[in-house]
Amino acid sequence: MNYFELFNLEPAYQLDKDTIQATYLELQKKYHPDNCQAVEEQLQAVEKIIQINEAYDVLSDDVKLIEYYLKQIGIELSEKEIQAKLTQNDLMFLLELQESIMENPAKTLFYKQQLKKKTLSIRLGLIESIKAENKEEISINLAKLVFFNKSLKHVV
Amino acid sequence: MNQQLYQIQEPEHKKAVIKTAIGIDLGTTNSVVAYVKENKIKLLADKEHTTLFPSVVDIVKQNGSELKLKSVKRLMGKTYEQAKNSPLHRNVDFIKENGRAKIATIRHNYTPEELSSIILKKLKDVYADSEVKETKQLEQAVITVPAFFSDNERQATQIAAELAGIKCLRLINEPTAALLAYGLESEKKGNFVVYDLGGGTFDVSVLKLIDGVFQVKSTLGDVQLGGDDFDLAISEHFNMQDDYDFLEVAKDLKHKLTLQRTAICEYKGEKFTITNQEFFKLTLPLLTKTVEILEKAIADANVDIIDGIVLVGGSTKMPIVSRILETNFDYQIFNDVNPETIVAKGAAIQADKLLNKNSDILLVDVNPISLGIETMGGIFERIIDRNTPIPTAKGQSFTTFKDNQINLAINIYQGERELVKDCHLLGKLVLSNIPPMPAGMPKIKISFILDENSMLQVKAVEETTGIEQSAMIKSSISAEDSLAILKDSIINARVDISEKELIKSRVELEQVVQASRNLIAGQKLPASEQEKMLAFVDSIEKETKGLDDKEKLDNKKFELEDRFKEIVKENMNSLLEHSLVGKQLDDI
Repeated sequence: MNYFELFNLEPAYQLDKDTIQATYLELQKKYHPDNCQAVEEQLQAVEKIIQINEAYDVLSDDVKLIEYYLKQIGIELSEKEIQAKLTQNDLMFLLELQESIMENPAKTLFYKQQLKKKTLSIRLGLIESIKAENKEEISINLAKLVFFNKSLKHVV
Repeated sequence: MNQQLYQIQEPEHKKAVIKTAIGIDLGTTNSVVAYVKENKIKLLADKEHTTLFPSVVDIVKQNGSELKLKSVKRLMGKTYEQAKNSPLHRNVDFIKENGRAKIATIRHNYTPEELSSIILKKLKDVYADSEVKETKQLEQAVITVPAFFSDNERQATQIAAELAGIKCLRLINEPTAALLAYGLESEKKGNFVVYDLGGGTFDVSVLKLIDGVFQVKSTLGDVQLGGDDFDLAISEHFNMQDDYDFLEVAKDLKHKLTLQRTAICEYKGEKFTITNQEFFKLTLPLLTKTVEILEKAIADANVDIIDGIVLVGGSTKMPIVSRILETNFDYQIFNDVNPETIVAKGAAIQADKLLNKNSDILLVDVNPISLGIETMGGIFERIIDRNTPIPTAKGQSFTTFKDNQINLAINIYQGERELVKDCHLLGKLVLSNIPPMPAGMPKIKISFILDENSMLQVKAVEETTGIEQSAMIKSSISAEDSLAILKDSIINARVDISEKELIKSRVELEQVVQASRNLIAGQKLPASEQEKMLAFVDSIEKETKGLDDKEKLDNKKFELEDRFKEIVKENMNSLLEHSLVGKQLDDI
């Protein structure tokens, strides 16, 4: 069962947060091991709830969701493909940001916001290219999204 | 012979036995017991109607003097050195046994767990004497712990319960328990931040509360920050930190300041005066620390709105706490609960849920500190990030670094730093009998399973052969360590990343060097050509030995890669994938 099916949703690259949250709580109530009577039931419930938690993690995160959606329709990039799609500008942007943080650690949060903004704008671009069914554009934007989102995780 | 007829009997319809659900808040300063009776939450009281039971153990020191030992919770899981340096325990005699601190008395040397169990036993006695009808024995309970308590402190608490003859149904986090009770009492819903400043620990949790589901969004804390530290600050203010007995005077002054602007106490014929303004100024570093942790927890929670901050823990009775929060945040502050008993009430609610399968409420908790393994070059690779909802299972694939590696040691760590040397070793798993294969060929899938009781199971499978190994992990991290984890991760994040990058470059270069050698050997080349190529690899290796410059390392790697590009293109890629620290068993 894929994550969309688990949450009883049509596959989509963007989803309503409130719906996800409400479904998640419903599923939690239904399957959480603490709500099970028998021990055997409990073991099965653990497996189910692990899937539900995993699905929630992906569906409730804009970037993870779009990556997952594309993977479901067969679009996935290897580490190497991602690197090949990145431009000099992308790398420079990140390098400059890293330098700024090194020089001015007090403003880390500000730079993190900038990186977040960048990620968001790439995501919008990716959505446009999905709508336009432009395969080349999709992979370029996906590569950038994965790259910048990963960098975001490393800025503490 | 007649076939025996089985008597079919209706199973007796027993009246469902309602088990008494008990919750215990085992605090640094005071402990509280709550229970659910006829759907009402009640507090256990002794004959004097006291509901706060001091977490104090009376001991007789080896020199014959009596001592009321306090703040035992702060000693849980400590090393001898840490315990000896505890400013709150200067009058305690510690002895070292197996690297751990034991408290020396005239009769016996106690571990902190044993002393905690004495506190629990006292609570058990009060319970046996009380008016609670259903059962006279306190046999099982939900016990609360600070949210940022590590696995080791949690296990120490469980041991204390066992020693006291109490089955621990589950350990739950103090701020979560508080919000369970608060949410049910106030019938509120939305996103709430719990600010829990107790006698010895500080915790923050952000929870989403809808229709009886309490979903923890993030949690953070400091296991060495509490009311005790405010007493110490007052002692230091009067330059009385070397007089242990003055701590009581400091506490007295602090208590007076909750109701008065100026507090006066007399000690050994001298008058000590302090105003709330002075107190605020001198504890500002402590208060600021709590604000920083609060900000970080809110950012981690990633929620759109915060509906309020709920104040929990005896130390939030200090007016300076509300003051610092009002200065820094626009959120509504809720201090309409009794901050000292709310945690125990929440524990009782969870106990009732677990025992009587009450499905109206549900607590969805998270993993508080990241879990992962050591990879090539001592890098900490997170497998389960902090604030991941539990139960959870996460897996990642790795490969070997050396040719024909038949054993693989997997070191499991807990922490928030980038390198394992700054994290804490929880355990080790050895995957053995891997058939000899070239480096990069085996596909080892490592899975972490963290269940609803926060027990971690680690599994490793070599997928091409199906060889498997798994273990339950018992942690060995200490409370002092979790404090360090938090502090370190904030301060050192940037240092870590550059160090991590450097190690990564070095490892990649080593891999390319090794791969190049293997490939040269594998090619049917004229001997002279082969020699020339090997000499080139040797020269690169020599030039980069001990080099601490990421850029130079990378350039050398590229140089090597370029040279061998045509022959090695495909083979190289598989090698450059994630490599696991592969130690031969003999190396361990």
